[in-house]
Amino acid sequence: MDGQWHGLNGSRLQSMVEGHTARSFDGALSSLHVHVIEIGGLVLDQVREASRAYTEWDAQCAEGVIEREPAVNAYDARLGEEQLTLIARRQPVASDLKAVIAMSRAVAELERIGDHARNLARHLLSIRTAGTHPAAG
Amino acid sequence: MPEPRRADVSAAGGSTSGKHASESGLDLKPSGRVHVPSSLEEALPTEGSVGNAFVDDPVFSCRDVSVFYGEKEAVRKVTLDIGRRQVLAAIGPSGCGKSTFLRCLNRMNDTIPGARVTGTVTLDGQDIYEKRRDVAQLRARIGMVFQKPNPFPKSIYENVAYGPRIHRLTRSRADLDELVCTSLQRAGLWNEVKDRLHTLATGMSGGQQQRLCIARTLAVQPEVILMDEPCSALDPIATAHIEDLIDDLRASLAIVIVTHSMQQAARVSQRTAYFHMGRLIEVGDTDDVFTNPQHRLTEDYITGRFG
Ligand SMILES: Nc1ncnc2c1ncn2[C@@H]1O[C@H](COP(=O)(O)OP(=O)(O)OP(=O)(O)O)[C@@H](O)[C@H]1O
Ligand SMILES: [Mg+2]
Repeated sequence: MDGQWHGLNGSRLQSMVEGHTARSFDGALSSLHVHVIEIGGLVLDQVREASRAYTEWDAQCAEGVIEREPAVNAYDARLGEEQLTLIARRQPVASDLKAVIAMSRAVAELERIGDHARNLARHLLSIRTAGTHPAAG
Repeated sequence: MPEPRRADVSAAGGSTSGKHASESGLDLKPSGRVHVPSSLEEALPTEGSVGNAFVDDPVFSCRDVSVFYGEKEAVRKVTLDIGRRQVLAAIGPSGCGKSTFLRCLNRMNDTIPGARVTGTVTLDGQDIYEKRRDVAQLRARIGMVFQKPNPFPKSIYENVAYGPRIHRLTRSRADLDELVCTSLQRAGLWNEVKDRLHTLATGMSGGQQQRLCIARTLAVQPEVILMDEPCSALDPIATAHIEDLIDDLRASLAIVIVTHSMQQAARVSQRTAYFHMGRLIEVGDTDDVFTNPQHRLTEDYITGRFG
């Protein structure tokens, strides 16, 4: 993902997750962060593809979105586990705790956006079967 | 000057995230680790601390308190109030002066050769270092509990009765019996020991011994109890008993607890003071210190980013 998308430059990001005396804590936090960025990328693709399917009236593209949706859910579940483990094992406070909670919230929203992309794709398939192009009204 | 509060830098960037954050009323912005001091000295405040060092109607008021061991300044110009009926936790890296500061409050530093205290410490508005002060009587008002439980090698009863006897707090044996009983009850130990009051205290478990030391302190009816790492030799269950006891006791007295466990400080205290190299860096409500520490050194310490 590019820096633009997640709105953090490299050094800020580093200082957010790094610098712990126990370096394995840095590792756990940055792995969590990488996974958040990955699910973000996946969801971004889903939204792009869903809207492309819509504008181009493309059933195959819509099917692709629906097929990839379980991957988003799987990511969400895995991230949930990872967050729980990190909280249980590290008991983060202050900025670390905020980072974990913020990532958790972001992931919940991303998962929801992923659902919308899938719904959009499904909708396209149903209206396409009905034979009316939305642009045709 | 204390390092100014770090600028808040939004990590989320996007426009919608800001809206969500304010809707939920939860500020999840990182405090923004932006300014990196070039040296530790630069990061240290030369004077005063951040947060709020003062409370209304304090039991203790410390003003510019410094402690020297010979030439070495172990505590430097600490200004801090300690409130009634609340727990203040003192945290900070090893050697930062927590125990030394604690010992200023009951003049225990007097017993250390070469130790010298400057500044003022008042208890209920009275200078505890004034010349005519009766130190034995002062210490009866201020209980102290140490890291390692240190019961006398006598019976449980005698351990608790010792203080009231030397301070002549009771007039009859019946009075003394009652004081021993209520002290053990307040320390949450009565049910465990009521059938063996006359057995040796040293035969109890570590956690029980520590509660006995608290009972012994309570028997002289102090206004304040100072605790220096009271749980560091105890298991989690004995620790939970002590923490529960601390929570009960603060209904009637003030407690200052030095602890190496940040979780313990977060669990038991209403105010937290962070010490670093002899200076008081930050003091504030525990709720704030563990969520929005204002000083970078505090944040680095509580998040485990230290050295
Ligand atoms: N009796 C003493 N004589 C000389 N120096 C002392 C004495 N007691 C403590 N010091 C020094 O004063 C400084 C503060 O020590 P203190 O024991 O107050 O720290 P602390 O924060 O309680 O540390 P810890 O967490 O390890 O108990 C240290 O540098 C220590 O070496
Ligand atoms: Mg100490």
